[in-house]
Amino acid sequence: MAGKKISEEEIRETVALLQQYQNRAEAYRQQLALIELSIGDCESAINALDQLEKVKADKTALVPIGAGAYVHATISQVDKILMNLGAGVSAEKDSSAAKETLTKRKDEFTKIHGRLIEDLRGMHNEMQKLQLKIAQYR
Amino acid sequence: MYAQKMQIELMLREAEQALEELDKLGKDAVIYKGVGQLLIKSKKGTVKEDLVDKKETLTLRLKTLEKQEERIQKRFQELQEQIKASLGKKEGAG
Repeated sequence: MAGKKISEEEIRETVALLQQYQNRAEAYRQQLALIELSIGDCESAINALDQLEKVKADKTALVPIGAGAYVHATISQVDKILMNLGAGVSAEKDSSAAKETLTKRKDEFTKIHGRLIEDLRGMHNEMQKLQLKIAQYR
Repeated sequence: MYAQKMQIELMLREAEQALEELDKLGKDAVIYKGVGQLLIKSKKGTVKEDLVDKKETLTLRLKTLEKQEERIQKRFQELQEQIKASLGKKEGAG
């Protein structure tokens, strides 16, 4: 009887632990999706800067205002880029410096992405072990 | 509380990174500060002062939250011990 009680307690703890892992894995997946978006954002900004280098100043462009609508505008300066530094601060940089910053940012995101994938893999392994343990009690 | 702490940690890291980036820029760098949807041209020194102030405030808030977390954790452990002791007594009596 006492042995069965310990088993029940153990299975309860295992199920709770599995649930914790599942919650954590879900949070990781959400974070991964956000990081992937940020990587894509950096890539598209780098591409835009590459394309802008080929454009001369005073060129007419279309500026998106949301919902697929655009207004006509003229690009007065193509060599000066305003970049967000974080905490509500932006600074003007030349195109190559802006690209360098964006590439660094992208590399950082990629590193974090790799780390999270590795952690998630570890979590999945642990979850499999716990699921096996639970299956044995059934 | 955990989410609040995470958010403050994130804001603190962002302020620190912005300060680092500002330091890399020259004296006459063109800086803009976000005010709602607007970006207002500002002086590097003023923006730096604001960021240092922000960093100090966030550090203080983080410390306060950590103390609160510590207190809650302690109380949680005390209650856990009390429950364990009560259950032990009940089982002993049964």
